[in-house]
Amino acid sequence: MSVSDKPMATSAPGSSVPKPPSGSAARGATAWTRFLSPRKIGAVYFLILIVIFFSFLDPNTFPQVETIRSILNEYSISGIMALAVIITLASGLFDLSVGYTMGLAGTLVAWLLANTSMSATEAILLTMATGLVIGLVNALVVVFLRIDSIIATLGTGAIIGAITVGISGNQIIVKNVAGSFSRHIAGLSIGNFTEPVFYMLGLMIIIGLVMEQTSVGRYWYALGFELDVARLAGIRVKLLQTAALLATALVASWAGIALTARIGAASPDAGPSYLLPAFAAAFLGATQFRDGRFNAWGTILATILLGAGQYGILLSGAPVWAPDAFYGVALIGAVAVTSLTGNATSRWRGWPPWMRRFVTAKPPPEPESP
Amino acid sequence: MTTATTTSLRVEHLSKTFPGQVALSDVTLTLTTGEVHCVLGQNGSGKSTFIKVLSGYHTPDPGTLIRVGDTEAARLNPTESRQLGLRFVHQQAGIVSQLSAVENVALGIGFARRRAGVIDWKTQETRTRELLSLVGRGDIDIWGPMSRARAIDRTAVAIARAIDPAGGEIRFLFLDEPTAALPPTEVDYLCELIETVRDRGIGVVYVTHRLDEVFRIGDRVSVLRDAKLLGTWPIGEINQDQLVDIIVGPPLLEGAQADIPAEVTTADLAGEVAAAATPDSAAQAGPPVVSVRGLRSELLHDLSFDLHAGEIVGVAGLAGSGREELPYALIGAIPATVEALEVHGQPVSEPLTPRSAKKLGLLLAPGNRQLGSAISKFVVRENLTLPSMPSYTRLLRVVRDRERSVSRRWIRDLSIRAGERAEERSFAELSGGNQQKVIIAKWLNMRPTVLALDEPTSGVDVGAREAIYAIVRHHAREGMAILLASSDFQDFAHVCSRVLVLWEGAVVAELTGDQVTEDAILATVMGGRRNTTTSEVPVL
Repeated sequence: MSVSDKPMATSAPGSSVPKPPSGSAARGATAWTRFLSPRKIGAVYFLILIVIFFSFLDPNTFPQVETIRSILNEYSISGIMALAVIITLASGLFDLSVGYTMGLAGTLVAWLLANTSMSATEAILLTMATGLVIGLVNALVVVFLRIDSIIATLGTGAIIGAITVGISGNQIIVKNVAGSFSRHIAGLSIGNFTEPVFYMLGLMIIIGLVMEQTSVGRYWYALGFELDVARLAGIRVKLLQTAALLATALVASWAGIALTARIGAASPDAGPSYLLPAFAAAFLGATQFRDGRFNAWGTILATILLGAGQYGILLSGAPVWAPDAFYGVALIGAVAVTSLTGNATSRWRGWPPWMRRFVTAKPPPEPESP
Repeated sequence: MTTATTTSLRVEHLSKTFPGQVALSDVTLTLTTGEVHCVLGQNGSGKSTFIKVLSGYHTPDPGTLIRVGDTEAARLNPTESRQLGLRFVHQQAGIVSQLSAVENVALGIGFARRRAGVIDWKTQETRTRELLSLVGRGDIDIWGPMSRARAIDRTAVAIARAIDPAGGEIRFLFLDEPTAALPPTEVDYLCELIETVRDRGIGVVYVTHRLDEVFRIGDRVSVLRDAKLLGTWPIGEINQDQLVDIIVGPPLLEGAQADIPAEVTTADLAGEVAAAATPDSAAQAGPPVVSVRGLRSELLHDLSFDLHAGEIVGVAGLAGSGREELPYALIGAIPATVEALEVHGQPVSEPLTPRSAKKLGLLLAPGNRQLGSAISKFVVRENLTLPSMPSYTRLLRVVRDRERSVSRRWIRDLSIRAGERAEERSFAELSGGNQQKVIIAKWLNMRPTVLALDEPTSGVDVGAREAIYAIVRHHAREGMAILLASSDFQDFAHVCSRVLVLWEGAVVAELTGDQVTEDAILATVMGGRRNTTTSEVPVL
């Protein structure tokens, strides 16, 4: 008996029995693995893959500091636009007029500089005020006339687009734009990054903090998730929806001003082309860091990811359609990785055993400690 | 569509067992064309299962025999059921709101078509009109979306679709609680409609909770209780009181409540659970904290009541009686008007919205999974603090540590079980009972004067149910007035000192003290009249 007991006694505390998690060290480890799992930051892994891929493909030009600079400079305005749309998206509204708002702002500021004696500051202030008015009109239609936001902002967007063409006479405006205005608003700054990069980072921090650290942000998310809960909780639904639409219009207006300054000219059709990339980055960003909430950090990560891929493709001399194709594939791929690993209701049956330790989603709920 | 001779539908030894539950046990019943056969019984007595077996949705246990005319079968599938001439209008009527009446009618047996499969809208329109005139609604807008139609017209379209003769001969029409969603004024029309259908030689099988309808249009009545058929009676040979007694059964239901094991109750509040089930009615002394006069909404007509501090008042009533609207109307969450509202003796003149009601201390905790209950993508902490965000905000910033400590306190006090760091768990990960506790805690955290609870125990297991009762009692004792609307009569028997019974949007009875038992409430709720056992104290 004692002979047969022995191996059992020795094997019991051995490696085959999982140790109970002890203390904060174990919990810290799971918190880290949880944070690093692809369900939280799939886009980061995707970005690393892209960088490695293009570094092999293009070893001379891609892995350079200049690449980072170019990508950020090139996609900063896209990033600002994406930040603009997450505010309304978080509160459950679609603002499809952002592209046209951006176009109007860019055109208006150029027109004011070209055709009036206004200083750059005055022109910018008047343009931002116009952006505010656009936000109010959107709020009037969406919040007070209660028209579905997708339809309403398609309508207001078309009107804003028409006004833009009317102001510009469908011409590209360059007079008085390329000079000091351009240098001051979108010139080079610290480390040869252009100023729009800092606008983007600054807005990311401000919008990120407002959405996650203030009660306004909490209310926006509540509206977006369950409007009825927000209403029953006595939240001022109309006021907050109005605020979201105003914020989006203002940020989009600033993106328009920055674009005009960077190019040194205002083209009436520049804005609308930023619409879809902004929404793409916002939706991809929502899958990052915050489990399905639209958030500033994920949105900028998504912008950089999508930008890096497009930039790499352009650099490698691929055909003109390749960047767009990449864009679609990357968007679906990154969101799929996140949603397949994160969502319990999906058909996904789990990672193969060898992968599991890297991506374990969460520990099972433990019983309450006495 | 009429049948010249009468046909009978005989069901023999029908049983249906679900895992862990017998839904129907050895039911033998004969239905005949040309009569209205009412089927009565409490929730869970097997009425719906009976209908679903005949519609082919459920497969009956072996040994069952279904005979329609000359056809015999051990079970039916939906196609066979239709071929035998059985038609069904289920509880929610199965109307697609975005589609028009024409399209909804066509959902039954398909569109009239021309060559190449093109829909023949003209024929389809004529057919829809004919069918609707058959049910006395030939004049309604048949092209607009049904979402704009009144509830009664939706029901009419559902019935029109069911009796569409293009689907073959019709022998029996089964209606599963069609009046539940109807305002009381429309019930008359439905009764006439049922008589019209019967006079065409069709057998109508009518499942309802409303006894007045049974005596008005029924020819025979069958009663189910606890999965068994208790019998079938011609309407002329039974009266309402006898029927109530049969439905409710002998008064040994109290035993079912005593079965709840004591150890599942939460530790903190166990003492209070053990306290008397009916709190003393001394709370009613003194002026009311809230006094409501002439509350009106879609289903409520001129409702008036008072609530006193420390009182738990139940609101009972059938679906459609206004019971489901009262808590929401009280805080202005649905369109409602009130003639006079006093809170702490102060008249309130402004119209109520959830926001203004919150300032007055009138709060509503909806039942779990009901509209406006909680945000499943928020964590527990965010759900708990949502209505009171300003008190967690300093210099614009939400102080999460304060949120956390308050959340932890509620998690401890209400024994919300969600493992370690429960306050950071997503609401969706919680079990139904714990979700309900979080919803209630969210509103208790606001220290309400009056807390209205809607269906606080729906989808909640026995242990959590007891815990919720204990929470409610505890806070009433601390001076909160609680209005508890529920379709589960157990709730009233456990915590309420007073129960308002609603019928057609008004209070028809008020049960107090010893009268607050499951049986008495059920009898009053289904009877829709002042029961003899009810106190004759005027409702106001």
